[in-house]
Amino acid sequence: MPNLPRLSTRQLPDAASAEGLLAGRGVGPEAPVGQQALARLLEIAASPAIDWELADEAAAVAAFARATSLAGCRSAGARPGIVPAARSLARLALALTACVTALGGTAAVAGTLPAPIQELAHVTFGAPAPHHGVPAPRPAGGSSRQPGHQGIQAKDQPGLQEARVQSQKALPDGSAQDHQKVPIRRARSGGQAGHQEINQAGRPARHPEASHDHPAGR
Amino acid sequence: MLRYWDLPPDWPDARSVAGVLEAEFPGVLRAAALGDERAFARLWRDAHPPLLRYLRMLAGDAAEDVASEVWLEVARKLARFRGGEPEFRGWLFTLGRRRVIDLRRYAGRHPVRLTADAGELDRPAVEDTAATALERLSTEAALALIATLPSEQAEVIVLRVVAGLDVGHVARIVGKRPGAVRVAAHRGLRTLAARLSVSAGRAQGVTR
Repeated sequence: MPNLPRLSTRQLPDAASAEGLLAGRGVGPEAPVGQQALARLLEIAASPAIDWELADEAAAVAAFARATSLAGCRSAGARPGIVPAARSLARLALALTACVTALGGTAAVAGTLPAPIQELAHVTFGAPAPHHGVPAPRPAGGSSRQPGHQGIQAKDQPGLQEARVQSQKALPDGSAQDHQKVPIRRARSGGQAGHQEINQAGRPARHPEASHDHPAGR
Repeated sequence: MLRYWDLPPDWPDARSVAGVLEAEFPGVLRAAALGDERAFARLWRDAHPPLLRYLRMLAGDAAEDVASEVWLEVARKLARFRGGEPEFRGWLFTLGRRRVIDLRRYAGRHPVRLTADAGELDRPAVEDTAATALERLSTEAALALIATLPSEQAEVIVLRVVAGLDVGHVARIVGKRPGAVRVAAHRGLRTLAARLSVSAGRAQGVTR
């Protein structure tokens, strides 16, 4: 403190006296006035609790009771060693489900799934119909039922039957020509949907755009 | 209710505010950790007054709120605490100090003053503040006089005298070396002694 007068070193506590004061041992009666006043000051600063300092005891104890009861509920309701493992398993299962869904959905849209699964995806959310390879030539008017293709039958599809009749009329000689594609308007769509190409066998042509309008999916 | 300004100048100090449990502390701590409210109340009555005095110096009027948060954290973590009474006090004051630091960070552009009372007392002459403390002999005034020291010195002195912690515990709380803590405390005491000597000398001169 610059404005304080210089005091003799005897007035100020040395290291030993300072440690004694800090430890609460005070000073002797022979100590200088300044040190005695300092000892009294520290004694008062560390005096026993005053009533107003203890006024919040009830609130503190109530908060303690709430905190311990909450902690008790947590410890009783959850087993700490098991919960993290269960959470890890749940997260793993969720991640696997997400991966399978993403990969399966991609494969379904690409049409690369096995036929039964692709058919299910086709019926469920409009994925492309399963591929069955290039059909073998068959006589005109033959049954549209194909082995291994039980889910789609021309007789069950009025639009396909009508399309077949129209395609046969469109041919001048009425002969069956596989792989000749004739644009028709789908009967069930009422003319609102686009054209669909079907071949002479009465099956929809394998065309990426037309495949999404396959009636079997309707 | 007895207030500090009602205390007579020669109010006897039967015991210090710190360290009254001593030998009973382990049992009290164990019971409190198991949820015994009476045991927790004993811990609180023992340690709250010095904590509040320390926090009043650091955080001013926010001291009681900070102390409540500290005790709530203690209640949550008491079952995991290991140590004796000095360690418990060290933990308690460390929590309080961290809370004050958080409070200051939260305040951001408007940092909390070390103590409102100390700031107001710092404006008049130092001799007047020291004389007031001597005349009233009140806890509040004594702490206010200590708080006029540089903050590092004042904090160290309060932790040693009011909280009753040794140099090692204080060093851990304030994050300094024990030697630096010792030097800061001694410097603060010498400054206080100089102020009180001047004040006492003037008072004796007036009375003569």
